[in-house]
This record gives sequence, C-alpha cells and structure tokens, in this order.
Amino acid sequence: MKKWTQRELRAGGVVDPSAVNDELRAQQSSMTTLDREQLSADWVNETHLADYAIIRGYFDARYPSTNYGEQTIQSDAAVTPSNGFLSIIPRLDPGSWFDINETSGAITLSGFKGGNLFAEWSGNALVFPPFAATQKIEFPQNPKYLGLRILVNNSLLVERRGPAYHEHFRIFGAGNFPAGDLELRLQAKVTSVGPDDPLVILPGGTQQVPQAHLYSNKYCVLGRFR
Amino acid sequence: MSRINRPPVLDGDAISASDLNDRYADYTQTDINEFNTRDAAVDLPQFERDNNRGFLAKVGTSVLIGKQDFYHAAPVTLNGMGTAPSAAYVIGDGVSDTVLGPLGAGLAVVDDTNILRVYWSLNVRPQFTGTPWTTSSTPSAEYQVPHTSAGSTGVATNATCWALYLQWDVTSAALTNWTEVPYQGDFTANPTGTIRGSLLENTAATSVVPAWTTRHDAVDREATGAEVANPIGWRGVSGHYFYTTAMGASVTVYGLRLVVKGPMHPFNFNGRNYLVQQPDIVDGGNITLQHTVGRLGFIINKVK
Repeated sequence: MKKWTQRELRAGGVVDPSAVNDELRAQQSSMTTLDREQLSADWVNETHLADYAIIRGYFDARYPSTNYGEQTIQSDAAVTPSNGFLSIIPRLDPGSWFDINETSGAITLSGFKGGNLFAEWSGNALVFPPFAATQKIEFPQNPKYLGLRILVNNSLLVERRGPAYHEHFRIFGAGNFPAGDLELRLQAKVTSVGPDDPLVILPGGTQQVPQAHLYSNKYCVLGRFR
Repeated sequence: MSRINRPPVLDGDAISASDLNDRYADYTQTDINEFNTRDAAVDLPQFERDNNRGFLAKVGTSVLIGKQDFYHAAPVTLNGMGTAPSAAYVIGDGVSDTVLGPLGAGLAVVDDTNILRVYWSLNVRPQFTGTPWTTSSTPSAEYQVPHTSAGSTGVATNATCWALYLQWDVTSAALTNWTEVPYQGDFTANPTGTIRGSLLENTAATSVVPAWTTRHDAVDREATGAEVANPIGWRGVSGHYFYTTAMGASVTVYGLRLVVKGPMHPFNFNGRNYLVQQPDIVDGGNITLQHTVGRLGFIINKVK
C-alpha cells in the first residue's frame, strides 16, 4: 500500500492552511489510486459477491405453471375430439397476438439492474396444416403458421414466423435495457382458417378441428448487469 | 466510487477543531464499503478461474450423438413401436448408444446458484409407407370431416409424431441408472384402457418430430379431392431443457442421453391433455424414423 502521510505536524509548530491541505491532498491522491492492482487476488470471489450483483436468472420450466406449461386458450371436451388436444379451435382463435398465459399475461423480471437481457422460450407446437390450399381462386392460399414473439416492456425483443407442423420450437433474443423491473410477455399468433376451411368434424358435426396448441412451454431469462 | 466535495482551506481562514474534524471525517474509510469497492467496482475478468472455466458459465461441454453419416449413406433406422408401453430407443450409432458422459465427479453440480441448460439437435427423417393414419386405432390418426350434404372425408390429424426426450444419470459415473429428467415422463402412464403416454405437463424435455404431413383441397368448408401426403425429408430437430433447484434437489450430473418413442399422438381424457403411443397403426416397418448425427450439450450457468 502507499504511504499516505505527507508531513508530520510537530508540537509547537505553526499550523498554516497549506500544512492541512497538503496532508489532505496526499490522502485523496492515495484513495484515487486504491485500485484493483492493489487488491489481493482472492480479495473478492464468488463467496464474497452479493447475490444478483452481476447476474440474475429468471425461469419457469412449466409456463404458465397454473396450466402445466400449456397455453391457456383451450377448448372444452364437448367440442374437442378425444384424439386432439384441448386447444385453440376456430371459434376460440383470437385472430391476433395473444399471451400464452392469458390469465396473468406479463412475467415481471424484478430487480433488473440494467444491462444485457437474454431471453429464450421453447416448447412444442401443434398446427393443423392440411387446408393450406383453397380451390376458389378468389381466396388466397393460407399456409398455417404459429407465430411466436417475445416482448419486453411491450417492445419487441424477437419474433419468428413459427412452426407449421407438430414440432418443437425455440426462440431467443437479447437486448440492452435500463435498470428497473421489466415486463416480459410470451405471445403467439395463429394463422386463421380460410373461408373454405372445414371447421367441424364427425361424429355429430359439433366438434371442431383442433387448430393450434402450445405445450412444454418454458422460459429462461438471464440478466447481466455489467 | 465515493467523491469528497468540500472547498479547500484558504489563506486567512480560521482553523478550528470542528472544521478539521469534519475534513478528517470526510476521509474516513467508511465510504469504502462492499458496494463501491466490490459490487460496483469489479468486472468479470476478475473472476477468471482455474482450468479455463468461466465465472458465469462454469461448465460446458457437448458430444456428437447418433451416427456420423453426413451423406445419409446408411442412416440408423428405428421402426415404429407396435406395442405400448415400449422401451425407448436410445440414440446411437447403430452399434452402441451415444451418451454425454461420464462426467467427472463434482464437475456438473447443479445447486441454487446456477442452472443446467441442455440443448440437442439431431438430423432425422420420418418415413412411412401406405396411409397408416387411416388404420383404426385409439386415439385415431384421422378426423372425419362431414360434407355439407351426406358423407364425409377422412383427413389425417397431422399430429402423429416421434417424441425425443432427455434422460440423465445423477447416481454415478458408471452410467447404469438412467432416468427421465424432472418434469419429463417416460410415456408409460395409463390414463384409460390400454392407452399409454404422459400428461403434457411431463413433456418439459420433449421435442417432437412430425411423422407425416398431408394436404387436402378445401371448398365451401368441405375437404375435397384426393389426400396428398408427402414424406418429410431430412430435417434437423432441436431440443431444449433446463434444470434448477426450483424443480428439485441439488444434483451432480454424470451423464445425459437422448431417447425416442413413436409414433405418438395427442389424446385428451378427463379434461387433461396427453401425448400417447399409437401402436395400432404400426405394421412392421411401415412407420420409421431414420437419423444420422446430432449434438447433445449442456452449460451450467450462474444465476445469482
């Protein structure tokens, strides 16, 4: 360490301003150079580091947890064939982006200290694709996709066209955000049925075609604060 | 860092004890505290560790799985399972299983300070012969779409799939105790009748591959014309799973491997969704999944 004392005051000596100022400046100079090089190698380590000082993880292996990791727009058994998921049917299609957890919507990332945010969302998606083509020329064909996007504070972090079959997906993005609690939303959008698409199935014609579903949903978000 | 903000003593100023004491108090080290010298003053390079392990990503490794056959000359072929429950296929090179491990003791320890992030990929090719979805089964692989007059047309549900899922060994480096990872079932639950599968809540480490896709013309809400079904060509399937102590106890991971079952199909019973085996539509080798090579890897990431 540096020696801080600039001058030593002696009893009976005259105290003038410069004597005091020089001493204080010497100490101030020492403090500004109290840098990392003067610290021992193990002065700070993982044990010393306060929780969430430089990183914080937010995750849920089954989101929405109240619905076992399945998106929440689900038909009931009366209109769903047993060989389909309780899922989005044409009548329940919101026709727009929707939160996969309609009941609570946003996920609060509390204690975000500012810095880089990495967010990934994965799961499996079911899409019913057979009626992508229509024979009526006046209607455009409409291949079915299940669009996916992640919003942070209602701003787009990442968006993908999404799955077209019964298949796995993973979507991730990263960005820099200011300090403060952040609001994360996982949203999906179904390609709506076309005007010629069959909507009901037998027996009875009261059951509807399961159109789309999302399950095994999980998210892992990492905030890095430096 | 803290900064002292006090005008200096000038010529002619009276020097009093209290003034001097205030100035000396400014320079006391109470302001050099944990925050401004540790939490706020230390960058990541300070945390370099032995053995080239990072501070935030403590451990990370991966391994090739499956068969290294980039030109698909002789891929591994897995037949659809004609009975339920069936033992899962372990992804291998056609001769032996390919697993990630054994990992050294203490290498991959998951505790409340970190998260285990697992990723995989595999080059796959689902194939079929005939029209298996028309075979009667429970659950059926086909919907009957009614005509506006009389009659109906069968349309494949397009939901039949193969399910790849993750197993680990958290017992020993001998790798003789493979189990499904938490929140992942083995598709042997028996909700009703002879049906075997897992609730969707137990598919956290599953990635599905469509067994086939079909197409129908549609006019006036009727399915018309012939059903067209094209085999899905070679494609890459990926998967993702993570484990934290919010899902269970701290563990030491000794090995990871990927297994597969199929054909599988959606099913709902008593208000819950399942992914279940569909053995009735299997007739010898009419439904297969070919695969070549992929990669299985993990990273242990600090989370606080």
